[in-house]
Amino acid sequence: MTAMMASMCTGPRFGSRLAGALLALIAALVAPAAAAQQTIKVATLAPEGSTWMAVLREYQATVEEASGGRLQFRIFPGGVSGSEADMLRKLRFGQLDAVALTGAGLGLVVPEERVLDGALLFRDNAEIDAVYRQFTPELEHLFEERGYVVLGWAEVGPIYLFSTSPVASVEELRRLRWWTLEGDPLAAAIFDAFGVAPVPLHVADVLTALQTGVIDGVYSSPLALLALQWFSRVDYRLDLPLGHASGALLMNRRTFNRLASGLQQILVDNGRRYMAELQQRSRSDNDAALAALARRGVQPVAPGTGAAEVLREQGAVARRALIPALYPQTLLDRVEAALEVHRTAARSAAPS
Amino acid sequence: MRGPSNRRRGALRGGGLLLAGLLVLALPGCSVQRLAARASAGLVSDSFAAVNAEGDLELAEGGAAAGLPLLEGVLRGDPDAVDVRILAAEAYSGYALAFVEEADPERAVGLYRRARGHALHAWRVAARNGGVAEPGERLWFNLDALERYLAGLDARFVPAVYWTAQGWGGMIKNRPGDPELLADVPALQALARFVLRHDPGFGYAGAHVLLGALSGSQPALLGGAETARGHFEAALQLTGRRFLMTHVLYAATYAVQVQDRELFRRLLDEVLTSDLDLLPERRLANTVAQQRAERLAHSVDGLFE
Repeated sequence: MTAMMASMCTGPRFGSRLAGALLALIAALVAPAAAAQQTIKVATLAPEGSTWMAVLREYQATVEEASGGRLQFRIFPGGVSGSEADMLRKLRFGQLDAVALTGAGLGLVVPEERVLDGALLFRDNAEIDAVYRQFTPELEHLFEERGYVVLGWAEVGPIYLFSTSPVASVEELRRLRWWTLEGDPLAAAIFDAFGVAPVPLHVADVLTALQTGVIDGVYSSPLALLALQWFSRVDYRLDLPLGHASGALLMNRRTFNRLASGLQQILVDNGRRYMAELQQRSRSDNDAALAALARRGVQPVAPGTGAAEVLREQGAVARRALIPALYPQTLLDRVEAALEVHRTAARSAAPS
Repeated sequence: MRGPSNRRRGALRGGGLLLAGLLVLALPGCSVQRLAARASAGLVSDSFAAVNAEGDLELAEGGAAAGLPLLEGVLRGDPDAVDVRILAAEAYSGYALAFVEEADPERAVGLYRRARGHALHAWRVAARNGGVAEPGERLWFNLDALERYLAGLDARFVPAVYWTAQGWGGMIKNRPGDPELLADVPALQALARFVLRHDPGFGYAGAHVLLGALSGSQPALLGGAETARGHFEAALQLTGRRFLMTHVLYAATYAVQVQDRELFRRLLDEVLTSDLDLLPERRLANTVAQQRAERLAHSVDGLFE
C-alpha cells in the first residue's frame, strides 16, 4: 500500500515539490508502523477483570496508541505465568518483559524494598504517600543496578488480622493459631515479636485449615480475603493494619534499553500515571471490600486500651529484626525519621 | 414472526378471557387475570423454545427481545406463576449471554440481575407452597446457614436454585472486580453444589460448568485447576459433548489458566467443526458458542506464553 501511494504521488500529475512534500509526510506517517514492532510480554497474579488488570489494560491501550503501534502488550493475568518467583525467572531469561509484583516478589530482587512493607509502620494513606515519594527513587536505583526498571508503584493494600474469635490485644492474639505463608520473612518477624508460633501452610490449603480448625486466623488484604474466600470462615478483623503491602511494575532493563528513547518515555510516563491511578483505585476497592466483609458479619474489633501502642512497639521490634537480612539499619532509621517529620508537620497543620 | 404471533396471542387472549369468565364462577380463588395469564403462558413458553432452536442470530435476537415484555406481561397478571418466573429467569440470562455481554457487560449485569430476581421469586413461592422457609436477605451472607437451609430443600427446588445461580454467575462474570459480587461467590457455589446433588445434568450440566468456570479462572497455584477440569469433563460427559458453550468456557478458563494450548485448540476445533443440528433445540446457544470459539481461536497467541 505504501508503494502504491508513493507511485501515485510521484506520478506526472503531481508537481515535484508537492510530491516531495507528500512523500515526506507519508514517510513520517508510515515509518513508525514500518519500524520493528516490539511486543512487551507482561505477567501478573491479578486475575482478568480485577482492578489491577483493568488498569494494566488501560495502560496497554494508551501505550499502544501513543507509540503508533510500535509497542504492543501481551498481558498474562491470573498467574498463568506461575508464581511471582516463576515470573521473575522468566523475566530474567527474556520469556517475559515486565511483571506486576507484590512486595513478596519485589523483595526477591531488592530485599531493601520490603522496608515499605514494615510491620505497623504507617498509620494512614498520607504517611504512605509521603514515604513512597521520598524513598521510591532510591529503591528504583537499586532495581536498576540489579537489571530492572520500575515503571510505577501501587500499593496492594492494608494487611489485617482476621480470626474466628475476637482479638483486641496481644494476649488474645497469642491464644490463637495463626497461618503464615512459608518463606515470608515479614510475617515471621511480626509473629515472632508477638510471641506467636504460626502454622506455615500453602495458600491453597488455608481455607480448609480454617474450616477444620487447624488455624484460627490469617493475615490478608481485604480484597484478597474476598478473592480467596477465606472471609467465609472468619468472623473478626483487628481494626489496626499490620502493614501495607507494596506493589510495582518491573521491566527487564535489557529489553527497556533496546527501545528508542521516545518509546522508553512513553512506557515510563504512562507507567507512573496508571500505577498512581491504580493506587487510588486499589484503596477504594479495599474500602469497598471492608464494607462487603462487614455486611457478611466480619466485624471490626478495635484494639483494647493501650493495645494499639503495644502492637506498634512490637511492630517496631519486628522491623528491627529484619536488619540486616532485608535492609540496612540506616535505611529503616531514615524511613522512620521521615515519618516522624511527616507526623509532626501533619499535627501542626491540623486544626487544634 | 412477530406479526402472526401477536395476532394469535390476541385471539387466544380473547378466548382465554371468555373462558376465564366462565370458569371464575366455578373456581373460587382464581382471578380472571390469572387465568388469562396462564392461558398465554404456554404460548410465550413455546415462542422461547422456538428462539432457543433458532440458528439465525438476528431472528433469535428479535424474537427474544419481543418475548421478554410478553413474559413480564404474563407475570403482571399472575406474579406467582413459578414456571413463568423460571422461564423469565432463563430468558433474561439467555438474552444477556447471547446478545449483550460481549458488547456491553454493564447492561448484561442488569439483565442477569433481573434473571436472578425472577428465579428468586420462583424460589420464594415454591418455598411458601412447600411449607419451607423462604430464603431471606441475610441468608447469602452466612455460608453455614445457607448450607443448612439448602440441605432442607428437595429436588423440586432445582430449577429455581439453578437459575438463581446462573443469573448471579452472569453478574459476577461481567463485573469481576466488584468486591461486593466477589463476596457472593461462596454462596453461588453452594447453590451450584445443591443442583449437583439433586440433578447434575440440569440445564445442560450448567452447575458443573459454573463451578468449573469459577475454579478455572483462579490462579492455578490456588489449586483450583484440577477441580475445574473435573467439572468441565463431567459436564461434557453428561451432555454427550453436544452443548458447545461448555467447550468454549473450558477452553477460555481452564485451558488458558494452565496454559494447555493443545487442549485449547482441540476444544475449539470440536466446537467449530460441530454440526448445529447436533442439538436442534439449542441451535441458538450452539451458534453463539461457535461465534465465541472463532474469536477465541483468533486470540490464541495473546493468551499463551
